[in-house]
Amino acid sequence: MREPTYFVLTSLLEGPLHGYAIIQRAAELSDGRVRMATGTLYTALDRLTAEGYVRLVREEIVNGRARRSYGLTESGSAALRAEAMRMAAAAELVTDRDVRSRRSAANRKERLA
Amino acid sequence: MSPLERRCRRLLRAYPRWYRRQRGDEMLATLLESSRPGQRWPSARDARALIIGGLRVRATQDQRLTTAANLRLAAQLGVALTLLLLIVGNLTSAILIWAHIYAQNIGNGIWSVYGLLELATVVAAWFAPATCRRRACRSNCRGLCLGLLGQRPDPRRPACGLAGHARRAGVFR
Repeated sequence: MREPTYFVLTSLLEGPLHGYAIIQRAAELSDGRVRMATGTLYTALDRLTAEGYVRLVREEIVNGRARRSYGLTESGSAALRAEAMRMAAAAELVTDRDVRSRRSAANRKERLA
Repeated sequence: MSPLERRCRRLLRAYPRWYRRQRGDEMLATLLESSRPGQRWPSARDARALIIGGLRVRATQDQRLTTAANLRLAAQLGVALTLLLLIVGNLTSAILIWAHIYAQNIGNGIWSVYGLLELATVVAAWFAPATCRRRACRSNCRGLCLGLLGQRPDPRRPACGLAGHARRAGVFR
C-alpha cells in the first residue's frame, strides 16, 4: 500500500469525509508529507471504490454542487489494519535492535565497573 | 463564473464526458475549496494531476487492472499504429515508384516485394505478442480506441487478450 493510499484510508477511520476534507486530514495526519492534488485524490478514490475499500456514504447539495462523502468499508478497514501491523512488525526489526544493543552496552559497562 | 472556475472547468475536459457527468461538479468543488482566496489560476500541481488523471481514465479499459497493465495495452496499440503508418507511407511510395518504373517498361516488381515484406513484418509484430488470439487483439484495440475517444468501458464486454492474461496472472490492484 502506498503512502497516500494509507493516509486516505486512515483519514476515514473516524468517519466519512468529503473530497477536500480527505485532502486536509491526510495532510494533517502525515505532518504535511501527503499533499494530494484533487486529480490524484479522485484517481485514488476510484481505485479504492473499485477494490471495495471505500464506498459512497452520503450525497448532499452544498452551494448548488454535489458533495459526496466517502467512508471505509469493512474490507477497507481490515486492509488498513493489516498494513499497519505489517509496518509495525517491520519497524520492530529496527527499534528492537536498538533496545537490545543499548541493553547489552549497559550490561558491558556494568561488568567493567 | 470566476476565472479560476473557468480554468478548472477547462482542465477537467481532460476527463471523458461520461466521467465528468459523474464526478465533474464534485471535483470542481474540491478544486475551488482547496484554492487560496483570490487565486486566478489552478496550481501547476493540480493542472498536472488533472491532465494525468484524465488520460488515465481514458486509457483505463479495465478498472480492475493496474495502470501498468493498461499502459501495456496502450503501448501495444501504439507500436501497431506506428508500424501501420510506416507501412502505409512506404507502400504508397513503393507503389508510386513501381508504377513509374513499370511505365518505363523496366518493371521487375522489386519494390512491391519489398512492400509486402514490410506488411508481413507489421502483421507479425501485431499478432506475435502474448495475445495470439486475433479476437483478443481486436478487443483490446477497440476498447482502447473507444476509451481514448471518451467512451466508458463496458463491464459486460470485459477486456480479453493482454488484459485477460494480466488478470489471470493476478495483476490486480
